[in-house]
Amino acid sequence: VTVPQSIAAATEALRNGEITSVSLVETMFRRADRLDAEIGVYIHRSVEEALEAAAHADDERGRGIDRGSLQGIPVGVKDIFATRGAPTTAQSGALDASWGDRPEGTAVTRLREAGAVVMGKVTTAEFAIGLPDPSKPFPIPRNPWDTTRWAGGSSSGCASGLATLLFLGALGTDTAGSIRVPSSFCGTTGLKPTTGLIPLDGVVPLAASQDHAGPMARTARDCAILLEVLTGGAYTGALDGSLAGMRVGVERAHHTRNPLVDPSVAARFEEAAGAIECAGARLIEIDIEPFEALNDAALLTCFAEGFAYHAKGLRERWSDYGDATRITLALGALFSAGDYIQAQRVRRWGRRVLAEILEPVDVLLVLTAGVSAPPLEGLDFFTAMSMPVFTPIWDGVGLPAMSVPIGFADDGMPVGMTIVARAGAERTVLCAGDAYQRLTDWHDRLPPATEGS
Amino acid sequence: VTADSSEVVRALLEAAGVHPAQEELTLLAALFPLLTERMRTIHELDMGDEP
Repeated sequence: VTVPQSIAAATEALRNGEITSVSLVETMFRRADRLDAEIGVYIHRSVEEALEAAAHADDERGRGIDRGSLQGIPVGVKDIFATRGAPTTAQSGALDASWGDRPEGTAVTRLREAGAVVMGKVTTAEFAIGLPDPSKPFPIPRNPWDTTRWAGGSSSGCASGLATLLFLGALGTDTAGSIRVPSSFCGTTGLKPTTGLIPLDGVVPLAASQDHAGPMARTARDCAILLEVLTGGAYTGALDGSLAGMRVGVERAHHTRNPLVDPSVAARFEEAAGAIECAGARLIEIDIEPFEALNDAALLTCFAEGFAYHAKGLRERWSDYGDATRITLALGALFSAGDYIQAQRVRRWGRRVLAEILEPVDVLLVLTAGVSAPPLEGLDFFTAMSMPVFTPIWDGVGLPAMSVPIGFADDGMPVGMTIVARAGAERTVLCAGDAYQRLTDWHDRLPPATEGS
Repeated sequence: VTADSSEVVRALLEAAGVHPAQEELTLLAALFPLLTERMRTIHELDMGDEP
């Protein structure tokens, strides 16, 4: 079976009878047999359950039952969602094995009820905050575009599995960039929705006030398909492919002020904005003066709330946590109550200020990260913290933000741009992303490892 | 890394009941001034009368 490269294409092939869900699932598991030992996507493969679900989807389709665009579609689930029939580890030896015995997360159940085939649990940074740790018994999430580099985190396996067509949709989480950073590094598409849009029950918390579940896929259209199922809302109907007349804000200061940004990544950003303007959008210069402060307030919140949740575990099972994870979480103990409260004031104020700043535009363009995926060799807390990453701000203020691929940096690695809009304006974000992807083919590119398969 | 930041970090972690190894304490103490610097951006932000 030739694997379709998107949910939309697979659904069409399934409906036309060109493929079956069982053949698609079998093909993708065979691909995982070939690629996964090197890339590190899966923590647990639910082979039997997936084939059963695929057969059920095929059977229902054969009897004329149409569950919509996810029926029979293979999806990966980040291993911090409690998932029926599969263990939940959060990629950590410090999580009690019984954690995943609770009822399955609503988000996962909604995917199943729409007929999606859960292929298994995929790699995450430990507790959605750590870094790859070779001393722990978990796969190292490598970047399929260059396996000496990191896939990004924390929804690592979601992005690398999509990039290599091990599944066509994925369920990730994002507290400071965990959906968008790996999407950028792996050349895939990922949406962090407005705070609260997707239920978080059954998810191992990191920072409760900033945690978001969200769809990851190869295209904006596929993210829309997943979001419809995850929320019950209507998104795909809005994707008219038009950018004509759209007011598109462009914020450059966040990266032009940062000397660590790779100039070739900034160049891709300009090219993407240029393509959008050529398609009829009106570009409007936007300056978010407190960008850095809002980013820092979100990071502080992540550390402090993360520490609060893990304090007991860190006291009792310090060495069961990975090196980078326990250092990062312990940082949360170094902030004062005044620091934390100030961060919450900044976030609250930021929501109001950004609502005013974004008033003249429909969407805003910013870089996802100012660099491509870093080498795994030497990747430590200092390296990770010093990377120019522009994602936490949108978690802190709760706005929808989607990373889409915009080409390749000079080192040959994919990079992404984030499309932001007002709270609740996911349709506008998806519409802009889908229209941009109709102009470009960056989202169609496949890493060399997948060639010939 | 100043002796002061090492002591502050050790005291804060002990108060939280967390006991890192010596080399981890040194790393955290090295990070502490960077954190304080970043906190300055949010403490110095003029937010008017935001409650």
